Amino acid sequence: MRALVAFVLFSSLALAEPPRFPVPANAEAWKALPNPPLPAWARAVSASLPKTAAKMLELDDLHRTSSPLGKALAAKLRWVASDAVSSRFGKAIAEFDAKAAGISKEQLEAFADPKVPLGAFARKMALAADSITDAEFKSLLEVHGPETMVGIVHALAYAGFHDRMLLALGCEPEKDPVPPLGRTFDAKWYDAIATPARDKMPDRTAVPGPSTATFDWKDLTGKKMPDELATQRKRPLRVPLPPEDKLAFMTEASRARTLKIVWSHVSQGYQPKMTGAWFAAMNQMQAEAKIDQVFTNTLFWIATRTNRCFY
Amino acid sequence: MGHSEMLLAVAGLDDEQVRKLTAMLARGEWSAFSKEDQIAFRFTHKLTGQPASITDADVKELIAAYGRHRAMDIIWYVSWCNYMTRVGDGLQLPLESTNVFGPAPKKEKP
Repeated sequence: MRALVAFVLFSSLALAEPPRFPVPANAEAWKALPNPPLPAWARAVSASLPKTAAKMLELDDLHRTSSPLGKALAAKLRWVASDAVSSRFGKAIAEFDAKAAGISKEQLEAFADPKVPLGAFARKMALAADSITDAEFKSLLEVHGPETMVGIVHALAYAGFHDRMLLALGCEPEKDPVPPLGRTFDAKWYDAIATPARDKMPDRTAVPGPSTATFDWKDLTGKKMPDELATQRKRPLRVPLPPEDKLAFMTEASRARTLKIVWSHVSQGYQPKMTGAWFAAMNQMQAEAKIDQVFTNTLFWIATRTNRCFY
Repeated sequence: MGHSEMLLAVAGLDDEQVRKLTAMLARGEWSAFSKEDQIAFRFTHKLTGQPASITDADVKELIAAYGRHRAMDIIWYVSWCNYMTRVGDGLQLPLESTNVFGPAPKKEKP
């Protein structure tokens, strides 16, 4: 019996011995390992909006590696959209992804030919989306169907978003383009990250003086603006409204909210992955920046007026 | 545009305030706003309409007015607006007839 007790005690002591090799904490271990490279834009955003930068990387991954449109079409659309707004970084990303998908530079240029309907659509979406006619859209819809067309619109909307970030941040294309990150960030990661504190918003007291508006919007002042909104209310949707059962993956509360907003209903119904990744980035930014809503929606109004988007 | 007006209402402006604000913006009467607001408005207009023409001076001016982090917030937000409008315009979504973002939050009485 004594021998048995001694054996158990010895075994317990043996288990309590230090590990043969030190096992550092997770964060320490990561310092010693080569982390995957991050693109310049993500590094720039991470200094102010670290959690948003993570969501943007996930969104970027979706569009570049697992787009419902396929890698080849996604790269072609991005190339034309970035070319239209002179985003060299955006074009470099598209060329990198096109090469990985087996698409040559010549094929990209051929797609951008104004005679190619989808290439012409992509260019118009980048430069003046309001100028796309119902007839142009209908002819593409007959070929591609609503699901793909909504996906194409979201891919080009993402390009419009991302190219503006790249151009405003002044990011130059990397000598060796950075491949998609290929990872997601879990809740623990987000919990451990702190967002830098913001400066107080400046005093918004008016300063009498000359106006600094830099446009001529006289064409729509007075009564014409409400007319444009009324016209937009009567517009027929260019794709059929997706049936409600397409939103079966959502909770009841989310579905009810989504059904009220045409933007969300069409996007979630036809392209839930693209829409979900976009909303995740957008919601993260809103939570992280906590910026005054009157101020941001005033900027939204100016952007919609500039784009002549009356929705 | 319809949605931005709905969201201004959700943010707390009443109908008359939304109408006055957007009428001033549309007419270019920006002198009624602060210097910093006008900088943000100009930046929004330029990044939306001519993104490749954004210069170092434009960004420096934005940072001087708002600080580095808030300037990043503004750049992100304006780019976000351009995602939303491309979907709205590309699909020509019909504008809803009521405020789909819900009523303005009730202000608590002091």
